[in-house]
Amino acid sequence: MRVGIVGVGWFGFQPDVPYSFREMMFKAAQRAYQDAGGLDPRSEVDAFISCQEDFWEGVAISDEFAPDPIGGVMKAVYTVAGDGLQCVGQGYMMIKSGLFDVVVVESHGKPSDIITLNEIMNFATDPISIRPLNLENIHALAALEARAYMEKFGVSEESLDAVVEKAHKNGVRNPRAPYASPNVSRGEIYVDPLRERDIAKFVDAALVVVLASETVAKKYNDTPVWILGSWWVTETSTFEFRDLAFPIHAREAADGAYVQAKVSDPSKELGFAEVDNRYSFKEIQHIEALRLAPRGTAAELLVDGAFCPGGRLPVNLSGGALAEGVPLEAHGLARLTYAVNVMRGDIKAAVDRRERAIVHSWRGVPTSTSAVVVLGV
Amino acid sequence: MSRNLNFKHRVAVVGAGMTLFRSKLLETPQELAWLAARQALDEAGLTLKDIDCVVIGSAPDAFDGVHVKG
Amino acid sequence: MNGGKPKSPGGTKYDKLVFPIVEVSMMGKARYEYTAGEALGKFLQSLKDGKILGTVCDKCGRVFIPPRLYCSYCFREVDRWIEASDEGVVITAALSYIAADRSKLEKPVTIGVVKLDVVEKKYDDHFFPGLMHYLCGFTEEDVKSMKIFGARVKARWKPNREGSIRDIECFEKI
Repeated sequence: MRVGIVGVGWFGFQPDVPYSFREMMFKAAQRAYQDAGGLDPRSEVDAFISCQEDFWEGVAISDEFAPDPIGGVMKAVYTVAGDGLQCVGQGYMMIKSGLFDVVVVESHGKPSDIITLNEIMNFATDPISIRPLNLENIHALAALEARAYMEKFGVSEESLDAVVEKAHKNGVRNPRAPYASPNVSRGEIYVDPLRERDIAKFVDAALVVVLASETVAKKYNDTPVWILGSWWVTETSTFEFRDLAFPIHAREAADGAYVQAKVSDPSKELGFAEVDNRYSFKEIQHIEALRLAPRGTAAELLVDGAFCPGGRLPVNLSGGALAEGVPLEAHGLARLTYAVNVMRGDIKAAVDRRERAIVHSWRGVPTSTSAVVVLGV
Repeated sequence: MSRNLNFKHRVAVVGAGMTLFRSKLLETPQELAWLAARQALDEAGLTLKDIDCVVIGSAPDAFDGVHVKG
Repeated sequence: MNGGKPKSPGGTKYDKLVFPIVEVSMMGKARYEYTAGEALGKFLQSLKDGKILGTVCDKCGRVFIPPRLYCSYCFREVDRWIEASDEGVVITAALSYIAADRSKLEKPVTIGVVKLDVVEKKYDDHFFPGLMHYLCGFTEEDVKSMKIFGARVKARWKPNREGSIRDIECFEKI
């Protein structure tokens, strides 16, 4: 029983959307159901899943707010405290189990509502061993990883220039990338070695994805994109215990998904990739973690253009989070929907093979959670 | 669509663990989870290697004062 | 600490333990500026004008107060705005004797849910346009005896309004 993506919809991708999060969810859901052949969520959906976090929402038990705007009132709805791609993994399991035929996945982020973003992110650190340090800038945790990685593999800041340049160039062709502005330097230093434009900005957005079993998928969409594998991994909550020089969680998540998708040589079998680049160096790390290049080689390959549009294996044709912004937990669905649009040919992208792709999201500092989906048409 | 409510495979609980219920336990949430998980694994005669997937349910983040707790 | 099988139904056996407790204050640190959006935005504006507005789904006939841009039951955009009366009927009410910090209040406070009158619309007690708010003009006995149920009330508006649900001081016994 294969699981297909039969509808995608998004709303927002503006730094400060005037609508409420509920209205954004509704509008994204409307578009996704339209994309799924006019599916009626009230009679044709078996279950709904929403990926969100209370502190991002500013609402305790924000789970209860999930059903109303997406057609899920009085139906089976549950929430996952995680990235949207983890919700896709839940939906994938539910359909694979044979219990459900149609599952809707939703995620949204409204960072413009949060006044104290740095404090909220500090709340995610260990309350006893790290939070009392009152980090002035939470991005320092990413900078520690950047330095550890760059020192270990001899990666220079010129490679970060190349990542940022590629992201903004690609973003110009992406209609929902408000931050894309090519030909600008990486800007002033924020947390060494990270400069202003090494760090993705936040963005308001809601995304909805409709999943369906193979038996019913064609009823909703002539060109379903199949989920061939879906896996997710969390390393440990203790920052100090992690491999700070390499994102093992991304490697493990990818390996799980590759086994399911029967992919043995990802760098040859996949046509393109949408990966997390909320920090420039993370794109290089993630390319290696997903086995799209051997460890310690991605920086050089990237500078040589291997991951550019038309290159050997284009990475982030969308520009990724650096160009689109990070819509909090909805980021994974942003990567996923862009890949789906490329695979279906809705977006004309410079990619030779669009029949196989990998999508990856990381939950950002201070987490060590990665989720990966392998897609096929 | 129609939910398949006549699902054939049966799912069993093979081990369980539980800490004390007190108004102010002095362990961290992680330590409490460890105690219960240790008991459940022991009762099932399993080790961490046998586990494919972990599902965690807990109070909403705002109740614990920890963000991204999941 | 004992991680083995539970030996007694009383739970895990413990030695006497004393660990430090770390106070973590979130006060003033988690701050948000909540976007009201289109539906609730217009609702707040109407309160400032001393009116209570709702939205109508013409497909199922439901009126949403507080208003929504969409009908959750039909999953479609609502069709139009409607003004409700600032009078209605008490559906349920309760008395609170303590404050949030558990200190005893001088006088108990009555809260309740009010089903608002909407012209040409009749509602059952399951789904209706209405607001949860403070109730005033009732005695403790009215609430305890449940005589308050079904009582008619009217919004007592503040003279200086700023576009907030607190522009209504309370729903007052008529």
